[in-house]
Amino acid sequence: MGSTLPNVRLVESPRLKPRWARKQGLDYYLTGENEEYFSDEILLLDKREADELVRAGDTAFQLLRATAKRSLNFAARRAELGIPDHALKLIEWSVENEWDHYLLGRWDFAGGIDGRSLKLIEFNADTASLLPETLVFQPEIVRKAGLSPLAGDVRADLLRRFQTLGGGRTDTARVVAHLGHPDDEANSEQLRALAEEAGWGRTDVIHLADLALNPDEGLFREVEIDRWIQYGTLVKFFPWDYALFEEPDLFDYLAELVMDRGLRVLNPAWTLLLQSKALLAHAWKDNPGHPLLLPTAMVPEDLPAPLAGYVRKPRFGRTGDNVAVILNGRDLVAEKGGHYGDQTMVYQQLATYNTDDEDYRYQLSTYQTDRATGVCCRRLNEWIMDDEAEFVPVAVR
Amino acid sequence: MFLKTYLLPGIVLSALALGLLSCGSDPEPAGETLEVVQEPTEGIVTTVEEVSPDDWKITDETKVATPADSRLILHPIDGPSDTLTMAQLKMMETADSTRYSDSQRSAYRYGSSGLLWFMLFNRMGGHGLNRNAYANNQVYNNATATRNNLNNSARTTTRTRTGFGSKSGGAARSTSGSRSGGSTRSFGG
Repeated sequence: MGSTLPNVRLVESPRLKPRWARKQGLDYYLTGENEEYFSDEILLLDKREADELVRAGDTAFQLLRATAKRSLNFAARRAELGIPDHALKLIEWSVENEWDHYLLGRWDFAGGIDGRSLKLIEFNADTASLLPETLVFQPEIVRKAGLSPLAGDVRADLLRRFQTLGGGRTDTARVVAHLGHPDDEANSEQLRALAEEAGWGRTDVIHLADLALNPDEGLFREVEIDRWIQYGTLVKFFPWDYALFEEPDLFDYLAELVMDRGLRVLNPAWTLLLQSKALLAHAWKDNPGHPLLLPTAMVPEDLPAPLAGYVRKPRFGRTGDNVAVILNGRDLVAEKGGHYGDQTMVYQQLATYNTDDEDYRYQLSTYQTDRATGVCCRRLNEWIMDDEAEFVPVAVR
Repeated sequence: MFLKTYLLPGIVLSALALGLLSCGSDPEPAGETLEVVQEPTEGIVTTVEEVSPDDWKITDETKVATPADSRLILHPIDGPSDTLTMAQLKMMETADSTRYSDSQRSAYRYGSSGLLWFMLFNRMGGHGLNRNAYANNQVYNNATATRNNLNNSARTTTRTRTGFGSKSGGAARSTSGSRSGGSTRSFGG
């Protein structure tokens, strides 16, 4: 199934005390159902392997953005991406005006260890999670283990990106909006802290439902009766496709405000193109045989070797929901439920992961701003990487 | 009455301090807190009568087409009736008020305490009507009814929406729930 990691790749990980996590406001990640979330081992990567991962992120970003621009020009491709016509105006405006305003995403790769080729599984283009784990827990665990972190400072790189983008209008505040899940709120809080440290000024973390959106006037929150605070920048911890498909008024209101320049939204709306897994099918078509890409198609028969196994994924899915793994063209060996079962599916050749002697599959990730940065890792001993995966701290070998 | 909704930036709010706006307990810095107010788009002609020396009562308030058309008509005990335009009324709050007579300034103080206040300060909130300013219950009740009409119509013109995402996970503001489940969906990727 994969190359088994030799034991020198995995060392025992210290356990962090819940009290330490509570001090960071992050005991959610160590308690309750998350007690086993952090793995009991640390993965050791060579510097060369980490560098290659980050380079892969940069390459993938260029490649997917080029594909996105190309696909935007063709109705048939837009249909495959799942972009409805009424979203086009905003996306085209965004490409025209916000192409360099990308804030944050995260690449997930198979391979990358012990010479196994890196293969792009997917890009979490719009709401990249694992920030508390990577920015707070991982450095502390590695330090406590007496190991060295990989070179490069992902937090400093993220901070630089926030500084470059700037806080926007000075007569309004900024908000990171989420939809209530504690993991989302914790990730939002990491973004808020970066924003404030980058000199953005007051940046609130607020549940989206508590924000008032007026397409003529802007984005507000009522802090007292008849007293409102206006936000000139919205950092969303919900993806554009959520607004587009599940809250159409939200999408339309944001579109009006963004195009009238009454509100800056990050990530910019063109990110929607990279959220669609169908873009990977276009990328494969445009770059057949590219070493970073897995063959991907809109139907399994268009894959070069469908009988070798493929993964069926919803076009705008998340966290492994509604993903299925099919071998031999017909044997469904794994399937997950979820909210995305009605979506158009995309088919990706089964990737070969690095595994260990307990059949854990290791998925390496790197973050993406205008440049790729940082390394983190999750593992799971099942076919489909989902929320049950463990977070594996990474240190330099 | 059709009303527009607009916003006062923080710096204008502080200039309008005038005791009209309560200082909130929310600690946002100056310049960043905005107040959503409703701006009248019709005007008022207020008539005041001096019922005794330096004591004026509002005897009539009639809507007119625009705020700029607002007037204060004064009937002093002695002397001819007079009419002050909106431009003149706005000067009463400035150092230029000295160019006006005592009678005019006195009439302004009483007359502006009714519906004319909203036109003068271009907002529908932050001011209550005082029964004592009115000559009788009928005039006062008419003023209250007019003010209520203004507020009601203002609400129907706004396109503000809140509550986006409140159906995305049941207990949307719950702090419980695991990474892998719970009542609220995660949108992280």
